[in-house]
Amino acid sequence: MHLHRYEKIWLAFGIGSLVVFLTLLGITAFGFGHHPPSHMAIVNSQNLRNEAPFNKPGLQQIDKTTYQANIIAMAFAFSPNKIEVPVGSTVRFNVSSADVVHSFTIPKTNVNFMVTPGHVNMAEHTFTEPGTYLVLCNEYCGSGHHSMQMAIEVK
Amino acid sequence: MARNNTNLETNKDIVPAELESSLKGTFIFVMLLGLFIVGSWSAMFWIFLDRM
Repeated sequence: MHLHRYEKIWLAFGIGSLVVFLTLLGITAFGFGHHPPSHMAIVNSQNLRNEAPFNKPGLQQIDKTTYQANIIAMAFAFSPNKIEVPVGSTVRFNVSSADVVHSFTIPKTNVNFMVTPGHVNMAEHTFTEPGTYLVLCNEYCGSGHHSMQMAIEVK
Repeated sequence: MARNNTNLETNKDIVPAELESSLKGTFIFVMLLGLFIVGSWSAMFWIFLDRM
């Protein structure tokens, strides 16, 4: 098959980009342990308030600087709607929905994921700056979607 | 007949040369599009790493 010289160049560029992209994906997944926020952990969304870990919504301290936040998303609120952690804390968010698909977004951080009913959706973030962090639902969930929010106080 | 065959042979030699069109414009646009995709992906990845 005859290939034009330019065709060889752009094919090499395309395949090279794919190799770089997949290599970086592999390094972040296997080297740094990044994974999709919704993994294989499931809960019964019909009975969410009686299922672990959502039977104890709110903050639990795991060790000196690590906390676990179990949060239920529902139309049109998060439960609890406010948590407080010290500066430098790492918070593991476990979020699930009691009804439709929501999202859990802390602007200007990497915490931005869909909250699907029946799944334990997870993300982790270390709060190094004090302040009030807004949490929003950015997945349209109904007429009250725009008012669905919560706050994280970092002191 | 022999003469016609000769003509055909000649035509065969010419055909590939006619198909060889200039790909310069296509090449420039493919590379610009490629650079845009790689650039925007890299920018997003940089933001992701910066926010970790």
